[in-house]
Amino acid sequence: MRRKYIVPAVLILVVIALTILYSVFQGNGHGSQAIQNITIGMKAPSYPFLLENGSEANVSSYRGHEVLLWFVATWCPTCAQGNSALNGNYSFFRKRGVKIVELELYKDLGYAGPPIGEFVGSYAPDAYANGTITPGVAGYNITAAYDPEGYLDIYYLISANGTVLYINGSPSVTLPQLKNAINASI
Amino acid sequence: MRIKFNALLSSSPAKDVGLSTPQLGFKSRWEQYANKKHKIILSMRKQVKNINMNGHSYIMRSAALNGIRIALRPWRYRAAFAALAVIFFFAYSYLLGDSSLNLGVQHIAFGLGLYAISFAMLIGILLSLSIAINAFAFSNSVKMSAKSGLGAAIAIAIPGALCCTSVIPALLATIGASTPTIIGVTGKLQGPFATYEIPIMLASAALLIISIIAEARKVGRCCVVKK
Repeated sequence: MRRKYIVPAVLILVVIALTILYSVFQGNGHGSQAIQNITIGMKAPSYPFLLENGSEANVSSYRGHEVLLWFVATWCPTCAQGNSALNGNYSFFRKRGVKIVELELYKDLGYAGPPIGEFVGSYAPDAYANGTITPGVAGYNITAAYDPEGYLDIYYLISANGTVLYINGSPSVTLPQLKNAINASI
Repeated sequence: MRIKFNALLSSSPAKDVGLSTPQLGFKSRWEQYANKKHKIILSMRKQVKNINMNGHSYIMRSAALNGIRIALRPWRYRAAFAALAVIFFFAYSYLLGDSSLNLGVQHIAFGLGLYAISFAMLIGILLSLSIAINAFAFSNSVKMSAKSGLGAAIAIAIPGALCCTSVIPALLATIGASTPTIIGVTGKLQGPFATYEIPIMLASAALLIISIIAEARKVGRCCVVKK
C-alpha cells in the first residue's frame, strides 16, 4: 500500500527537482545569453508591432536611440512590479536617452490580462505620461523571435546602431544590473 | 504497579525501555515492554485524562502535539528538521523570487519582502516538520496512510509551478514543446497561478498543517500508555 504511493511521489519529486535544476542551469531566464535565439552582440532583428495608438512600428525604427525592448504579459505580477520599478527610475532612462518600448506578448501568451495601455498607466503612471515608456502589442513573429521559450518578463537592451547589448528579465529584480549595462554602453 | 508516566513522556521512550538506539523497532520493543505490565491504548481522544507518577490525574496535551514532541525528541530528527527548514526556506526564496510575493535574493539583502520572507519561513518549517515526522514514523514502523504525505507533496509541487518562474517554460522546453505551443500554452498554465497565487499559497500551507496534524496524531497515539 505504502509502496504504491511512494513510487509516484518519488517520480514527481524527481521531475520537479530536475526541472528546477534545468531552469537554474539555464540561468532562470535572467542574464542568459544562450537560451534565446537572439544573443548579445548580434543585430536585433526587426519585426513590426502595434503601438497603443494603433500605428505600426518596428524594431529598426528606433535606430539612433538606445532602446529597452521589454516583453511582458499584462497579467504577470512581476511585470507590474517592473513597471513600478521603472516608474521610480524613469529619470535615469531619460537622462541617458534610453527609450523603453514595452510590448504585450502575443495574445498575452494565451491568458487574457488588461490592455497594455491600461496596464502601463496603472503601474508606471509618470513614465507613461511623460513618454519614457511606450506601450505596444507584439505580434506572433516578434514574440517567437524574441521570446521563443515563453518567458513572461524578458527585455533586450539594444544600442543606437541596433546591436543587442544586454538580455535579462524581471526589471523589478534586475534593475541594478540593467543600469550597469546602460552605464557601460555610454 | 504505578507507572512513572511523566518520566515516560518527558524522556526518550526508547531509553526508558532500555534500547541502545531508538531506531531498533521502536514500536515492537515498546509493545514488548508495555505488554508485560501495561496496556497500549491505540485510540486516543484529543485530550486524555492520564495519571502522573503521584497518582493524580491530569489532562495530557493533544495527540498531535504529543506526536510532534515525540518525533522531535531524538536529536537527529531535530537536526534534520532544522536543516531542512533552512534548505526549504532558501528553496522557496528562489521559487518565490519571481512571484507576486517577490522574494528575491536582493530583496532579502535589502530587507524587503517581509511578508514573503514570512511565507517562505512558514512553508519551510511546516514542510520540514512534516518530513521529520514522516521519517520518525517510517523508521519506527508507525503505520501512516499515504494521504498523510499528500499535503506535503502538493505543497512542494504548487509553488514550483507558480507563475513567473522559469519552471514552466523549462518544463515545456524539456518535453520538447514547439514555440507556437509554448506561446499559446504558457499563459494558460501560469495565468491562474498569477491570479490566485496568495490563495494557493495559503491553501498549500493549510494542507501541510492538516497533513502534519494527521501524521503527528498517529505518532502520538502509538506512544500513549495507560495503566
